[in-house]
Amino acid sequence: MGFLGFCLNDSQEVFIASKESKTISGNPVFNKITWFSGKEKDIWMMNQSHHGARVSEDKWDRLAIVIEKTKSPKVAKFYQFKSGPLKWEEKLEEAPFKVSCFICHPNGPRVIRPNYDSPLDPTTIKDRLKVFFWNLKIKSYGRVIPHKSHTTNDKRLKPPFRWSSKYENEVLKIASCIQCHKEQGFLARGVLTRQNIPTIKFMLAAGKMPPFGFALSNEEKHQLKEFIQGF
Amino acid sequence: MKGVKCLVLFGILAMTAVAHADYECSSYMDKSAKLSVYVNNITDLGDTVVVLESEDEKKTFFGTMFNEGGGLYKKQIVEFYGTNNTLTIVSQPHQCGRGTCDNFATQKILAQLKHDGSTQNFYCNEKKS
Repeated sequence: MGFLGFCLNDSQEVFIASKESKTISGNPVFNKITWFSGKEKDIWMMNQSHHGARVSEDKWDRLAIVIEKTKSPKVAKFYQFKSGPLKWEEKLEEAPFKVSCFICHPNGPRVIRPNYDSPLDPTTIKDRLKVFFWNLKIKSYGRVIPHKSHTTNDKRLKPPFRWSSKYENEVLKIASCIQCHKEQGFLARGVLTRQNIPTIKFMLAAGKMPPFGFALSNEEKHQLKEFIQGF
Repeated sequence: MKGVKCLVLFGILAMTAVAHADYECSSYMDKSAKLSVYVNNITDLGDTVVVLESEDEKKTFFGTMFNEGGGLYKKQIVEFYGTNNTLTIVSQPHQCGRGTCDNFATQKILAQLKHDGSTQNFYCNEKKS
């Protein structure tokens, strides 16, 4: 238990090549991730490079997700900051979002998926243990909703935190998927919408979804294909 | 009156024959089938003209286009005049994922034509202005 606590609470960053993220030209994206736990908030910070693993600090995008733990469901606030170290302090200088966070984060922070098979994988054994335990922590949040300030701020942002049109917010309604991808109830992870398609595609292609013990019928596979195509 | 309408239709057909379509689409299944979509082509029968060409035939549909979405994903539905037939065109970014989204990259565009009880799917290219 002491070791588990050490892994969970050690805020030394983990350096990974992402399994999911790729640059526009298909090259690996590198992430440095850490977290800080407070009484009321968990703060996940990430520096992300689309320019290789060894580039100057100003080439890294500095991002954060702050989880308000005292609320039910938990609430997540998303930030993009000017480049800098993974040190949390109030009033860090914010920068515009480079991408809409909600595309990949309809339910707060997501499981960290390093590409351990990559020849560029920089992780150590200790890093891998940390990722394992941090992922348990992330899964323990359950349903996480976006902070209401994102809706207000989106009116002046491009790209916004979340795309707002009716079409981009059409909900995936496939019976097997909505056992978990629903707003409330046991195992609720929040609904998925059309703007989450890039992530849905990755999760299907990587064999992460449907999860162990679940399967899609042929009819559901057809429905999912139509949804992903956009019809 | 009928004569006037015929003249309008022939005029449009002649125009579309030389104009560049806003979308040029090729069928998934039937490589010979091509679809040309002329947006903002206003006639008495709507604002959009769709021409379906295959080895055997050429069909022209007239209808009105409705837009949904816009920021990242776009859906355009053309409801053909006087029928329940439709053409749906959907656009989405080619490259968009965790941490990466090229909002300005070429869009991936698909079209689905539903007419007379059949459904045909197409890949499309958008005319660059």
